[in-house]
Amino acid sequence: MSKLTDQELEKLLEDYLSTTLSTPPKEGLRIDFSNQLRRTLEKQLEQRNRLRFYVGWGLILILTMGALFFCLICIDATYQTGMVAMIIIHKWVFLIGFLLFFLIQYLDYFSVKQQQFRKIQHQQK
Amino acid sequence: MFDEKEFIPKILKGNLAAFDLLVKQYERLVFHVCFKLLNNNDDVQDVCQEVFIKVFRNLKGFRYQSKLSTWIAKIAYLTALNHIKKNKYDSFESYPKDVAHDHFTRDDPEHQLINKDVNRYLNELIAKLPHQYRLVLTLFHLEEFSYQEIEEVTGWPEGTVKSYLFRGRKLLKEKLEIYLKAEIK
Repeated sequence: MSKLTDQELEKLLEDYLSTTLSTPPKEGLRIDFSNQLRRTLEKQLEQRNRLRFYVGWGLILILTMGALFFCLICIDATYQTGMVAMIIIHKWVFLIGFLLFFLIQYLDYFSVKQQQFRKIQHQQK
Repeated sequence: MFDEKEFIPKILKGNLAAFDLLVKQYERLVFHVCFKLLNNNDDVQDVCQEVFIKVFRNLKGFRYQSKLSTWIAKIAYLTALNHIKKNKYDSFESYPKDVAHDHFTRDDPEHQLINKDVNRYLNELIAKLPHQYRLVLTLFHLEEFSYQEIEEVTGWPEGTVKSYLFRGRKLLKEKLEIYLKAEIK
């Protein structure tokens, strides 16, 4: 190999450096990367929507119960019944009972029903 | 062509097909940033996924004040950095100041035998550079980011970016020069 001058060597260095630095690495993301990402996002969105649904229903329930109590108090003021007093004493039992009911439904979905639904969907396919 | 102003509102409405297009457009950039920081292809896949999930969740906070590519590259940089800190497999903060001696002292004959191909040799050298140099060199040369954009992504002042770029190139050049001279002789 013939000897290179300093200038030629400098140019060669620059060329090599520029080429290598602007060449993307051979490695890359998996082919199914975007599909996998989409599945993860769909799952997260589904979970978020389901949580919103249950929280929404929980809130509606509390508001409805509150409205009912309010109405009963108004009625009781007129008719002087003992029913309202009884409900007010046990109000937490009613509220917590309904909230627990929703929570059980929610946990039941994740622990049991979700897999059952998947199996059914898989069989249908 | 990915038009940010057309697709972002669609993505914000939950259109995952539009988000797929964004992923296709920027997956190369995200991969390069994460790969140069992590240097580990297995972890890169998970970190890239984390980056795009963050992009999806935080897109409503994007105010078009910078280019979308810069904003995504910043998320990729911070996510990869967090991953490094969490896993502690790479000492980002305590990289040696005397980089030239610490990273380029393996000139044993066996090692030189592997480096027959100049480009492969150069890639090996680049892989041994500290993260900062690798990242700046990648963003500047491969992704063609400007100094200001690199500053925005990394948070380093422009002077530091220029210095990393200069020192990174100088180190590579010096080592390559020795290699080429040895080859010519």
